[in-house]
Amino acid sequence: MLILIIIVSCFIAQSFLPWWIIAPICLTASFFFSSSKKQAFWSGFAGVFILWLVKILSLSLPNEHLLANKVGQVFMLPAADTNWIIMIFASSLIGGVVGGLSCLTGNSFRKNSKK
Amino acid sequence: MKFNLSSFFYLFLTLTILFLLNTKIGPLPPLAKFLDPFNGFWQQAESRKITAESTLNIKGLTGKVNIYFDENRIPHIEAENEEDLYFAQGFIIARDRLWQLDFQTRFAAGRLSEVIGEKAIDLDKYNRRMGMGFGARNMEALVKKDPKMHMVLDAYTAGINAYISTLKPKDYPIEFKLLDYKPENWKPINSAYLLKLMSATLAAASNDFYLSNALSKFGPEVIKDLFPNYPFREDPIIPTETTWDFDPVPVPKAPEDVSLTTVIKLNPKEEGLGSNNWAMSGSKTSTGYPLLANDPHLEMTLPAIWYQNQLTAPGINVYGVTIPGSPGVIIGFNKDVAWGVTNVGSDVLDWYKITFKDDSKSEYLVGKEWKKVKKVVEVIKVRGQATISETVLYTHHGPIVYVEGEKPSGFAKSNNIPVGYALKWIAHQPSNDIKTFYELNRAKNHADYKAALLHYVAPAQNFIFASKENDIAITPNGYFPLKWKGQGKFLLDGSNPAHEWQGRVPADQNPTVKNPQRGFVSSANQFSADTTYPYYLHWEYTGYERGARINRQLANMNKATVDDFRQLQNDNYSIHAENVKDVLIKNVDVSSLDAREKKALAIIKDWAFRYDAKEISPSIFEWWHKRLASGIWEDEFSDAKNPTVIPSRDRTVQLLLTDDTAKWYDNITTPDIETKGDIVTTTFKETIDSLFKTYGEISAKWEWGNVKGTNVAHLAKISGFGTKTLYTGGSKTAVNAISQTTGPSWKMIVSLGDKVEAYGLFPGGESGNPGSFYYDNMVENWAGGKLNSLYFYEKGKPDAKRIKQTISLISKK
Repeated sequence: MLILIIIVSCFIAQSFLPWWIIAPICLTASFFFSSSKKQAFWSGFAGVFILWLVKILSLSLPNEHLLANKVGQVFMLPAADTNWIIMIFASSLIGGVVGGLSCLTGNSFRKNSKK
Repeated sequence: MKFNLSSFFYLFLTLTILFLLNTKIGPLPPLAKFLDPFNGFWQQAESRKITAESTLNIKGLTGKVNIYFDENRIPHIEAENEEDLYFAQGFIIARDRLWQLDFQTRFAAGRLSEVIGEKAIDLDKYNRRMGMGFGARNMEALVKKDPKMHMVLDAYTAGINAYISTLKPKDYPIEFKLLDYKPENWKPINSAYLLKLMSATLAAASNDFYLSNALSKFGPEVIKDLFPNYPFREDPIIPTETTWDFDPVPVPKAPEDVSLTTVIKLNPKEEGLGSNNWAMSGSKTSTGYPLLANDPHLEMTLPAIWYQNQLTAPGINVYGVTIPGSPGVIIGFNKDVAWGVTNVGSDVLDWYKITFKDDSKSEYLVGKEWKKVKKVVEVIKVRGQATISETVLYTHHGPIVYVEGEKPSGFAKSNNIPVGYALKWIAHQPSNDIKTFYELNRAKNHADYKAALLHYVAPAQNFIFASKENDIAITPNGYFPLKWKGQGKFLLDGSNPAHEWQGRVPADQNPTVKNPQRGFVSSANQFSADTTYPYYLHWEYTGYERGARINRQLANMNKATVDDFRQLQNDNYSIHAENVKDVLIKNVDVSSLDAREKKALAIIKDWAFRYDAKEISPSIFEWWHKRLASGIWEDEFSDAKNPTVIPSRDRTVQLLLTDDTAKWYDNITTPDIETKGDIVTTTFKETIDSLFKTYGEISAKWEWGNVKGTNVAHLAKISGFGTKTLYTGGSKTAVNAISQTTGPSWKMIVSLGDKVEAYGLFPGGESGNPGSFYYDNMVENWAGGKLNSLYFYEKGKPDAKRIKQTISLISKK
């Protein structure tokens, strides 16, 4: 449930707002819809991770990973046709971590407010 | 409500991470902002698939514009009027090269620190102190007085800005995202900056050296002998038998006190920055109509230096390349004529010693009167730091680049600028150079070409020309200051009015030749004319070897074809090697060689002077002759305190061929007296030793293609955005002038006739986006010495076989 809310609302918001909008969205969604800390973190992580992964693939596959392989070298990777795997994973991971942490934060406020 | 401390810890942690991921740290971009698939770099990953037809509504157009893209994504722009044409050209160049436009303008204007930070401060100060802004403002002011050119520049500017206004942050080119800044609106002066940048590249002494103690150390006779005013071997651009059919204006006399100057000013030509062009009369071609070829050699970059486009509107249908930021076509052809350029390299930059009245530096001496110094404050914004103000002192000569105490240490570009001297430089002159190209784009015959050239100031170029009417011509053209012979070879005295530029060589008396007897014209940056030309242009040009090879090959051609020209563009034969290889080998003391050295000597003995990629000899020869030249001269000439330059390659060749006993062969740092044979042998052994240490035993690793290691780097040297190492032949002394980083930045061959046929490419692609398949798609053919067939579109009839995409621009009400 939380995952879906995050995927859908982040997708819509990110289409016209900067990347950091995922943080308040995850925080708010988790405040209302999370159960445990663990569930909150992993929902946030997986939600943003999946959203970013799918979006990246939709851009990078038709590009045959031409750009991802080059940008890998900007980040000190050696010239290789497989840099895209690392770039896609790293990008999605960063999104996931931000999503997870934001959900964790939202969840922590929820428990407090219940008391 | 009661909050647990851990909630605030998590909130704090999240906010910290958000902040870190949204901030540019060191050379890295703001990470999450950059990696975000919705707004970050992934948005620049272009699909291979393209939409065949699309329509854009754009504000600022008066009619409809169709832009047809061919298989190399080269735009063929068709507009209903000129204004829309230049608007659309600006629009489409911005689409393909926006970051390049921004970066190069910032470079020229001394505004890189705004986006790069303190690293660029010295460079920014340098460009401002050299008066780049002074020159660009002078140019802009003059262009605006010409209604037609004013319209062109305004329409072009509006087109670029119309494109910028369509962008959202996610659309910004990837370099903006990496460096984390935004594109700003284009201004007409930016076009002037880019043209001034060409002068800075081609007509500036950015490698200005001086031998401050050369005269006192060696005496005037030696300087005259080693730095002569005309070379030992030459094959000038204007054939030697040409007569001058004009009455020259009087040339100023050299003032008697000129010998007071004890400092020789040397502007060694950066070899590799040069070019070839040639044109052949129909009497020597297979079609009976002229053929024309051009390949300008520059420091090659990605995004490519040049941009190909075709511009069609009532009164104009022209194809060719332009520099992003400059409206029109710079090198190209239409159905009637073709033209191209190579650099002249005449002396258009001089230094004047300034005598101040007192320490306030507010007045300086000219003749017997004191003139006021103008103080110009340059304000440099620096990213992440306080803004810097620099005061530059201007005289009527130009800016005093550095007064005592202002010259930075450890900044290579300024090492060789004399302190306390004012800079007189052609790039400061008001000029309307774009008018030359505007008229050439529409030229129909030789008369149009002659008329177009009169507007051109700098950087001086050898304009080559061919027409369907079977005329061929070449003109070393630009603003040539009227000088006494040798004026500006030495540093000049700013207080002596006789040392100033005395006007200019009349534009219609610039050296020129039309339809010479030999049936062809050519240039490769060598001397414009022989010593019979009545005006002094410079004492030193690029070596004659490329030019001589071109002329030799052209003289031997009959019924020449496009492919003959293509082969000549790819010709790796070095006349320099032909000149000195035998004398070098003859002077090697074979008895002192070990087995490896003997093997190497045997290889080079059989060498036929071609710098082919698979040859080992060019690697040996190239390293050897450079080592030898420095071995001969540097012991005497190098001076830790003063940047110095050794005599030219031409003078070194003369020494090797004509003098067996010169004192220069001796290494003055050793007690022994070395002979010619000694220095030739030692440098050969050192060469083989270096090659062995770098590449191991003699093997395929020694091949020239590997040793030279050509590659095309990104304009801002971003790793991953350049090409891989390209295995190519070529040499600075061969027609195919590919070195490690410089080379033919555009190759073009045009066959005129009832239907014009043309071929060309550059080491790059049309797109400036590293995420595009059209970023470097021409590199492979370029490295292989092939050419692409150029599609010359005729109005209203796009060829379905060549056109892959159409974009229509429609005026938005």
